[in-house]
Amino acid sequence: MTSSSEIIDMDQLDHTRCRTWPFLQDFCVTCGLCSSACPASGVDETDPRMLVRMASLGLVEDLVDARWPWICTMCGKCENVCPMQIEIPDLVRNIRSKRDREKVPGILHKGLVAALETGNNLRLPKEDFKFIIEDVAEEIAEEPGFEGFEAPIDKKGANILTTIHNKLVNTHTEDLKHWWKIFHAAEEDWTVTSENWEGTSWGYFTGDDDAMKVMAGRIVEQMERLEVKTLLWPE
Amino acid sequence: MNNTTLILGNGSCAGIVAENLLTAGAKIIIATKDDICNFGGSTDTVALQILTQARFILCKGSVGNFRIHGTQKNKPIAIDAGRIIIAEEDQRTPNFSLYGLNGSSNVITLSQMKHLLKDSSSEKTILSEIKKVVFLSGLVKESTPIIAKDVMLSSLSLQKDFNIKTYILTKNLKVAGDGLESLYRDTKNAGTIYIKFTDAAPDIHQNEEDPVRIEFFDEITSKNFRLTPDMTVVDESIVPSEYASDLAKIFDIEIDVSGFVQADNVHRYPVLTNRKGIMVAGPSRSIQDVDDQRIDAENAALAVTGFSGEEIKAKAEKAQVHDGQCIRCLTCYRLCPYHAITLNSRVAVMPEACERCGICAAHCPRHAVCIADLKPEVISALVGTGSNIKTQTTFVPFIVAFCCRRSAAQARDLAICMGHNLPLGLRVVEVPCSGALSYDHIFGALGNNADGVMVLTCHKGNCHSGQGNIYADQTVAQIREMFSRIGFEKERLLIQTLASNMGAEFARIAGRFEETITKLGPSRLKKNK
Amino acid sequence: MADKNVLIIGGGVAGLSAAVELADLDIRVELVEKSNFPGGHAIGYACKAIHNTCVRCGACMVEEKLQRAVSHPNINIMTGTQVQDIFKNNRFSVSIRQEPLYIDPQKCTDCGLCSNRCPVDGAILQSFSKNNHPFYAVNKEKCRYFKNRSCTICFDDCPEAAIDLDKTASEHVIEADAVLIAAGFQPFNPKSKPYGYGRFKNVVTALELENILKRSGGVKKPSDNKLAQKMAFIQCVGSRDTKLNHLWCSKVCCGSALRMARLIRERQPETEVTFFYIDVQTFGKDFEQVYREVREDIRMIRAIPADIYETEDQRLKVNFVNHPLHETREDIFDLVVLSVGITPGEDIGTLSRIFEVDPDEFGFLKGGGTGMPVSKNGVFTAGTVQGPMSIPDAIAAAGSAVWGIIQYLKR
Repeated sequence: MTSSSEIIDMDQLDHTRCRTWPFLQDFCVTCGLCSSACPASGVDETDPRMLVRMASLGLVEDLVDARWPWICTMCGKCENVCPMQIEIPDLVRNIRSKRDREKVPGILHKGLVAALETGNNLRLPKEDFKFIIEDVAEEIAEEPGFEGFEAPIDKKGANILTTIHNKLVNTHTEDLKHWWKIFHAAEEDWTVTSENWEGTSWGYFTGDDDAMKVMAGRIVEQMERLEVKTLLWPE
Repeated sequence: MNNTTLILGNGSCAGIVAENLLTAGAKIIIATKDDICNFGGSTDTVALQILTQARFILCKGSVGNFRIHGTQKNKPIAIDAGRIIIAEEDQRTPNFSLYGLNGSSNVITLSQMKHLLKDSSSEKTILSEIKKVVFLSGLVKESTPIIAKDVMLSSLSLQKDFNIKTYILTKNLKVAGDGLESLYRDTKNAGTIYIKFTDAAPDIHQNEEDPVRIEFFDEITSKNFRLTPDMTVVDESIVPSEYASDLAKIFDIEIDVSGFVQADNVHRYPVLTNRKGIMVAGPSRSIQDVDDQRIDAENAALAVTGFSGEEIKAKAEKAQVHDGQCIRCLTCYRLCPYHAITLNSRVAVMPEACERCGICAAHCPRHAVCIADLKPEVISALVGTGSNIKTQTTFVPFIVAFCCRRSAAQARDLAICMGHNLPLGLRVVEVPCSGALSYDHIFGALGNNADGVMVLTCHKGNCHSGQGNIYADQTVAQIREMFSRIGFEKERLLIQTLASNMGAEFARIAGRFEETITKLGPSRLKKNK
Repeated sequence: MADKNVLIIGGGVAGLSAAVELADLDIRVELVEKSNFPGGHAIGYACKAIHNTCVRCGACMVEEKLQRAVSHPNINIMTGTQVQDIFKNNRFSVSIRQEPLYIDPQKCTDCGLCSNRCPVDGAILQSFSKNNHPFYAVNKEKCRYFKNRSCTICFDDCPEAAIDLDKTASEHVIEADAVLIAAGFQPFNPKSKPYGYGRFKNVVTALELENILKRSGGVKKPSDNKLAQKMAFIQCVGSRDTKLNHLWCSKVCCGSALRMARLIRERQPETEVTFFYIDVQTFGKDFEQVYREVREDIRMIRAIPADIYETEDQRLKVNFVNHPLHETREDIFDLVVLSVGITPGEDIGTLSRIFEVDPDEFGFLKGGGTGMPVSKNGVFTAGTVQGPMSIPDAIAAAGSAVWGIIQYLKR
């Protein structure tokens, strides 16, 4: 980011750099509604209105290097109130996509690479995954009213295929039980898959469309393989 | 009565007025100080007369019978007309000094830029050399939608037709005009960058050798930027032309704070002036765009048509000068807001111009000019003596309220309608203008047993007579000052401004005054105690 | 032109101005007004004079036009009346439907007893102007008699026996040589904005604030009728908004809000006012000075708030970015005023179909050029039905339309 005392030659900037981005940022009237709505306004002395203007001006490097586009949760409150219909969350995501992958913050890219290589963000092997699923299912089966409970894995012809957030087979296995019990009570015909079960697609987070495509494609593949028509993707 | 209309002006507004009146079968004279008249009507008919190089110096008479003296091509002329329409153009003064700039080959005005864009030859010369243009608008004095439109249209053309980078620096972007929000959007689509300032302003530097340099802190990104444009365009202020200002003096027409030829007074909307039969249309009266001017022109034509059927009311209702009393002090002549007094061998009122405001009568030191039904003794009879107030165990103040018929009297009617309680002893006396109230009227009321007198006038700037309420204010202030010195309670005389739609406030004012008078008790001037 | 007749649709300031101009020229005018009370929206606006000086808002002008229109022998005003259809030969035969006048104007003395005795809030409406006679009207939507005949208090108690709740609507045909559509505008309904309008009592529109000021002269909170201590104006609500397809500035709201702000500051100096805006639009001929004074008197923030939540005592938590800082702030106000935009009148669809005039891209009915009717058939437009404009501009637009009508009638 440029320091506060630096003077930028505005007319040397190429304002057309972001003109092909289809987010309508040039139509901003600087009303401030987005910044008023944004829960992250003020962090790093930045707000969405500022971001939109920097894109219009062509200050791409400053945007890509900034931390704020990664602080943003892409909640969409800004776009919801914007009178010019500027697609600010997509703008933020686009900025994220411009960063070199090694500079993507935290574990996001590493997890994504893991998912592309192994089918899940944790590199959890298939057998370990199945073990955890069966283990949790056994615990449920011990509860009154859930005798005989089983968690279907790779069940062909089921009604619903559901993906799984990696933390549910890592640190929060208890949380699997809530919706499995609902399935059971509703007598739903459901299944998870033993491979490519990951629901947390960090390609979406990091602006990596290709990775997103791959992961989505794999889930579709599973659905075709198991002949399941309905996908429940709670991510 | 003369049916000819004299139109002063040579621009599009004057042209539309002329065209409309001719179509309607009226007789017109167009007079311009310019060498060539832009209105291209045929002068073969008796309906149209065109005078060029015409300048006026004096106007006598009144509606239906104006005689305007001047010169035409340096020879003296006198024109007889029944109506006059002032439709002169405005002028644009460049704002170089506001921005600390001097005009040069690369620091030009908005009008010059517009000219450049229209002139196709400049495409190959000046504009082809330029890559970046900055517009400075409304950074010191606020801009207007008309200027904003010109700025945006110029920017749009530079971006789209010449591929030039443009920047518009402004404070509040004026989009309160038809199509301006769309235009704003179009310019952004074409690549215009807007920099809006709220409290601060950009630093603008201009040296002989260096190009113009503009530095500023951008409020939205909190970053410092610099612009070094190849050309800087400075906005202009739209002001009345000097000739229009002269005409205001010649025709004795009220002007506004900026010198436009029409008082900033809602009673004049849209094209009227303080003088019956003299209208003002277009850029002479305010900052206007082309649509406004057309509408003004049509309203002026309508106003002319409207008067033609008017009858002159019986003289008895208008002001009249009694020659025996008049000492030609010229007070009435100077005070009359409607220029309804003539000074020939005798001072006389032109009844067709008189609006019965009564200001002349109120200030004549000899009671030489008066309006029959507004004489203090007549008003006194209307006031009565408060004898109709039933005696109660507690004191019920007899309060006389002199109310301007246009404002306070109506507010009182509204108060009643709204269900507000008004003082039991309130007696409202309507006057055509509070300026008609003299010392005699007010003393008369007090002499008639009033415990308190309210003078309720129109708001400043809202008086149909221009200053009637100001005169009333002065009269009341003088009387109150006198009361203080002689030991009479000045609180018994109140002056307050109101509008016709202020029912709740009328009730509040009357109620509070009643409380005040109740505390003071009956007036010492009362005859029957 | 005493044999000519003009139908004016709409009794707001434009319709009334035009009626008076035509009537003064000896042309008969039939003016149909949909509501019970001619005067349009502007009759409900307050006088905003401060320091005893007129601010040229034009509100009193509406009153004046209304007074001239109701007392003019050449003007016939029909309230509760709407146009159903037309047949055009060389004249217009316009079929109209008039809702019943439950209160007889010949008998009514505007005493207000019906309004005082009526047990249902809002069943008897009150006008803003004493030039509306009767000053009161029965509101069928709320009146119990129209639900189940369970209440006849006004009918029973009226000392002049002026009320007849059994009256029925009537239909007539009006013949006219020309028609002027002056059907006005619709204020944007801000229900869809995240400001709680319609749910939070103390969130009102600017027009509602005008009405409050006009009726009571001060700003009381709708929730408890106590004086508001901290107020906020939010500008551009429903204007300058492509999502709503309202790509226009409504022109008058900055002036209206700032004039109201100054009025409130003069009447209630303890009341703090905040003004949230995008770009302040010029108003009046002395704007430079007014703008300077108002900036010192109220807090002006160049950002529009995005959320309003209600507190337990019906105050309002407003979230906004604290321009020129980048962080948001949450301030609590007693009253929030939304400056809602001028949007196309609700009857434009019907009128455009009946009179074969096409709305523009934003839904307004623009006028034609000099002396040209908006359609070729003697149909004219004036006022906010054409687009956002101020009261003085509406009066001028009416004059322009009248000029066109006269040329048309003469042909």
